[in-house]
Amino acid sequence: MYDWYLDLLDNHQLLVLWSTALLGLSFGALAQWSRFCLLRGLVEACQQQSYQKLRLFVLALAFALLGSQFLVWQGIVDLQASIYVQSTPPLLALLLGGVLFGYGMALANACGARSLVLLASGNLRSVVTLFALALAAGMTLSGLLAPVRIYLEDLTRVELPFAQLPAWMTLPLVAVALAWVLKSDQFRRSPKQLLAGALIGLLVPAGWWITGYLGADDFEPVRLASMTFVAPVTETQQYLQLSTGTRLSFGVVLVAGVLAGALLRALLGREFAWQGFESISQLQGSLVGGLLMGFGGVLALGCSLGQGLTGVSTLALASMVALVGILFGAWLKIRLAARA
Amino acid sequence: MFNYLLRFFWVTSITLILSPLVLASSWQSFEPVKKFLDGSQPATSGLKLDLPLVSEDGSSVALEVSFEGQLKSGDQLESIHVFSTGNPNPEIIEFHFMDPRVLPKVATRVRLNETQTVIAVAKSREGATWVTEREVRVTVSGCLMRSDEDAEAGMQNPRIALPRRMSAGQALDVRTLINHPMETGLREDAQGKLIDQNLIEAFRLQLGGETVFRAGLHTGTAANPYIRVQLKLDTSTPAVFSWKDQQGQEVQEEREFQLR
Repeated sequence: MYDWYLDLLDNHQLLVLWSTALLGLSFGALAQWSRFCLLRGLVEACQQQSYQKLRLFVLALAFALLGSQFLVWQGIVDLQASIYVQSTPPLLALLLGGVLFGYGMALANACGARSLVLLASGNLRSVVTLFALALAAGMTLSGLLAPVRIYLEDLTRVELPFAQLPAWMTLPLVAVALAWVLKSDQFRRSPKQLLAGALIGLLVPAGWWITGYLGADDFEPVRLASMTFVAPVTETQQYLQLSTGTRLSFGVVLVAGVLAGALLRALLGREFAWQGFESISQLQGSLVGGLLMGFGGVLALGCSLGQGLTGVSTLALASMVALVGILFGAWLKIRLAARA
Repeated sequence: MFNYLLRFFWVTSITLILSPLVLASSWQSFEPVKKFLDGSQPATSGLKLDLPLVSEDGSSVALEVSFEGQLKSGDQLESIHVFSTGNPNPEIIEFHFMDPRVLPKVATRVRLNETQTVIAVAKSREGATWVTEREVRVTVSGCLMRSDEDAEAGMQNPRIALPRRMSAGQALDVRTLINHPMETGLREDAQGKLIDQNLIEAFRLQLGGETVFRAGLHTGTAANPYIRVQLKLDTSTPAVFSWKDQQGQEVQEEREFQLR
């Protein structure tokens, strides 16, 4: 056992994979427990003027931002090396991708991460969403739609005067977010919500620490990444088909971890229940929503979590643009549905 | 008319049946490999090439080549050459083994222009040859952004990693890395002008003053060349690692293999 532990410390790639599995497990369990969902928050805010779920997301965002910037301040990771911080980002492509992702998320009634959690709780509708998402994301990353993506990206590249907000903005941003979250008596008095929000938020810096600190190696560097669920879902699908010729990666282990964590928590909490489609239109929603999330998510470089929490935690302007797109897309679909 | 169709059917089916055979052995029809083999009949088992089936970053693909074939008594493995069938230049990298203390198992990172077959050929001192090949699918990169490296940069920041615990008779992985753009001379800059070629040509490992391993680097070797060799030592020995570029500049790093 002790030898195994020493060998693990010697092999940073294995260490990163094991830690990532724990990260995914924690997220899966926490998200299943607290029903963490940006979309649910937006729907409740739009339709019932109830902001509890949205507060949960904003609380997570505040902790993600605080924790990540603390790592930067301590010099433990350099987030400028992450994909989110770009000095010439394709702003319009990011915005368009965000809108498509948000619209798809509302159409399918769950984002990528939420679909994984739901699937592990017995919701078979998520299978369709996830496979559609994986297919569309793979097509956009490296398949038939890749030339379209590259064309759109090159067309809309904008030189920014600065790629990130200055680091001192962290404290005021976190303060404003916390003030809004804690304004609600109901939320303040719910230790479950407070705990879940804070812990889910802290998983983002944990991801940065795993890939950026544990994975730091001159010879075989691990790509800097944290929680995100578009590329990992398509990587997982690819890994299922090509595992003899590819290596296990951060994304695949993360997805497996989330599924396992959510399943465990659903079984322990006796919340596991099989669910299927009730109508054709629900199937259409999952299918088209998944496809839109796959294409939009790759174009936007991330999902509601990947850009919304992880991207924003780097203070990258590009991520904020993508998040605005996601929020707008989801809002648009919710309003259209309300009118119909 | 019917006869014509029948003949068409036969020709098509025979072509279809034979085509996998033709494709499956591309080393036989690949000129640089034929030239290297020089008429000798290579064994098709014994040499192992390890590459990912799919790579989303063709500018740096991890490659490992190892030799496990049977050698006649007294014979020694001399070299392993790695060829690309789809790059502008066929040479990727070559490894020369001068001492049995260096095991024939090396890893590096290579450039692959497009989806193609990579071929490795090994030769022993007495002229026996081995060949193996592997197809790699190269897709456009996912989320990759490379800052433009300085094309004229020289060799910088050589790094050597020795295993933490070393003992006699045990296979020791030694990893080396040096910063260098490995400019191919085929790339254009923003103004459409060809960028001058700027390559590291050779990597050399000496144990106790004697050269035991050499690698020849080419345009198919990835930027910031990474080479991993495996050694099996009986006694502690000083080692010198050196890199030499096209301008004749040389960088040296000295280390000591301290066996427990």
